[in-house]
Amino acid sequence: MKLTRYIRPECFLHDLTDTSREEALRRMVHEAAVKGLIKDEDQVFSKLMERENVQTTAVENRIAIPHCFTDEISDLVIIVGRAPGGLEFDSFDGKPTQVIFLLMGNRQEHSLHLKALARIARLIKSTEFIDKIVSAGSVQEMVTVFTEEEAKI
Amino acid sequence: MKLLVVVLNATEMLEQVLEGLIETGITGATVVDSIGMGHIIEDVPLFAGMRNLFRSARPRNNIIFSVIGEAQARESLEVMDKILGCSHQEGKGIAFVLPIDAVIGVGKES
Repeated sequence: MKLTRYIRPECFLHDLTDTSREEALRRMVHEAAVKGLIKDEDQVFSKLMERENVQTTAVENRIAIPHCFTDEISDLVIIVGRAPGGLEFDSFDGKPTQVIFLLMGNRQEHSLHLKALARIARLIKSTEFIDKIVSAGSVQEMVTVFTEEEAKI
Repeated sequence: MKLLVVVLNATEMLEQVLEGLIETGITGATVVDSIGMGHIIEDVPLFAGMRNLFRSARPRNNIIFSVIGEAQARESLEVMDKILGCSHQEGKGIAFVLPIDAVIGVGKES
């Protein structure tokens, strides 16, 4: 699978200035609603927080991968947020989170959801990828970095 | 159906290998701790002078077995190649796919 198939260019958010997990997720879900990807942003936000309350999705290395199932999405939508200033996401290693992959998938497509999580897990093992995304100067640069780095794995 | 076998010498890459399998839709596999031939044979006095002939860069390895669908065979090998670089360098591991004549106890998804 290729992640780029599920991330439209408008789904890259270049500058998240929020400082907390809740604020960042609220903003990303709101952006998804503004772009017409979802309608009920409160419901999606609740589902994301429900998952976060089970265990944080801020795995390590400045990355968080919040995810949830929602019937509003037909297959899978991924939004990538860049927060160069770092935000508090209750990460495993205690470090601030600088890159967020937000996945919203249809429950019937759980296999696709799982594949995407596994591929992201491999992608973020590249420190080079994380550094490049964090230092990207524009959305276009984020898209280029993402495309180039994904092609390597 | 096929049997995917991965002999993983670079055991520190086990997590990545399993993630790669999930990526190709493989959600079930058996992981076995194993020992390379060279690690055993090096203790046999007769072969003491020829230790460097046995490929035993790593004493311990993992063997991963998974019964997979026909369609997953090629993709899973491609992903393993990407992760382990099997086509370019020796040592990290090998992967191969074998045909299965008959099987029981496997769900419809495989």
